Amino acid sequence: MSVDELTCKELVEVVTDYLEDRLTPEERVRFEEHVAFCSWCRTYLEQMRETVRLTGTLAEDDLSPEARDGLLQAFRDWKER
Amino acid sequence: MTTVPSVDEREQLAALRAGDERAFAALVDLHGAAMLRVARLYVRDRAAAEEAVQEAWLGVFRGIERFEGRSSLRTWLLRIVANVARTKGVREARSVPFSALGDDGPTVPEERFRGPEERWAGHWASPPDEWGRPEQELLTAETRSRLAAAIGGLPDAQRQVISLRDVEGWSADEVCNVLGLSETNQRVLLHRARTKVRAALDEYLTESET
Amino acid sequence: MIWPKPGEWLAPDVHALRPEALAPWLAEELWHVELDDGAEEIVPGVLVAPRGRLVARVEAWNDQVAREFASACAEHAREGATGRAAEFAADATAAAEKATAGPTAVLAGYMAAHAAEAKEPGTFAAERRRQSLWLAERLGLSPSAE
Repeated sequence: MSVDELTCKELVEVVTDYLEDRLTPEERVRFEEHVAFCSWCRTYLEQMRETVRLTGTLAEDDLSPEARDGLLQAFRDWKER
Repeated sequence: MTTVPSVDEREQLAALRAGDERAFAALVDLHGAAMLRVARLYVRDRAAAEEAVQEAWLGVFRGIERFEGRSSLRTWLLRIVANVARTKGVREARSVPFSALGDDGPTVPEERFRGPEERWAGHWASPPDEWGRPEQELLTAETRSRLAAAIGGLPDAQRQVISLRDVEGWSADEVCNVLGLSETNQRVLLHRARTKVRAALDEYLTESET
Repeated sequence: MIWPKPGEWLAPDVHALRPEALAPWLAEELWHVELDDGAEEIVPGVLVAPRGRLVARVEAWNDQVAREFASACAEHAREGATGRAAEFAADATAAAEKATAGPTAVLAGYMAAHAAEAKEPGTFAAERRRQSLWLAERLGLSPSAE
């Protein structure tokens, strides 16, 4: 662009850098300046945040009781060697 | 995650070396789920992942005298299981080796934006639709299932990073340490993964409106 | 967004604008801000400091003034505009009709600045500055002293 600003196309490529707080102060100002007027990029940014939030709700696996017992047995075997 | 063993961890290590079974069980309960998660990044089959965790602990018993404490105990455990699972995964893999960064090019298709000669070049041509649903409505089993499927379908390296960062909530440092990635590479992978997952979610949430 | 109480120090990293940098950042409300020592100018007109606090609200800023601002930007854009510049000016005019205190006013100004750039390359920033100074005068804000 002839103008010193961020386009929407450039913004979507740096949205993770922004959320990770890895933009330089100047880049961050340009980013926030863009979302100040661009409702579409605001939507996109909010959707990215929402995606991260929702991903965080996926449940974690625990070791099965059999696996846990197997480990305790392995520990006892090791102790006895 | 600390970069050297904490006071608690030093005590746990000492108890482990002394053969204290309760201390060992406590460590399994504390770190087992995370170890399983790391193993699952490399081997998709749950049984194989539990085997990898088992093998990793055998490696821990063998190596416990030599652990020098240059990293935290947790980091050490996770690196061991990563190495074990990676080896297992390579033996099981039938596909071609993946490149460290996955695919190249812009993450959002170019045709979504106006071309260089147009008025408002580089701005949205077909902008994102609002999802228009409050957060509570998004937290359904169906949404989670779509998310899990989207993550499962990612190239391996991207899947690993988004799983540890966003599903498990690890810090960037932790992920870089365990997966052996630079901060920049980790961020590029995270970006690609999140962009694809958002797109999958977007497709699901807006399909009923077309 | 929950507004902090005036007088309460906020940290870290409070941002503030010089009057000549207002146009890209208009929101529903406008406040005078005091920045603590150690303020840095990140880009011309935009300052950040480790601490800052709200001092007083600019009561004069409201939807009506926002509409005036946007219309003035669009009118200026239409002056002597032909070709691509006229297209930008038409976009600015349409945006100005719906402008309220907030992003919609910013958008009208943004489009008008592109019209200026299309009329004469290299004038985008100058047009934004002109818009900001217009608004600062309209709101009774003195141009940057410090």
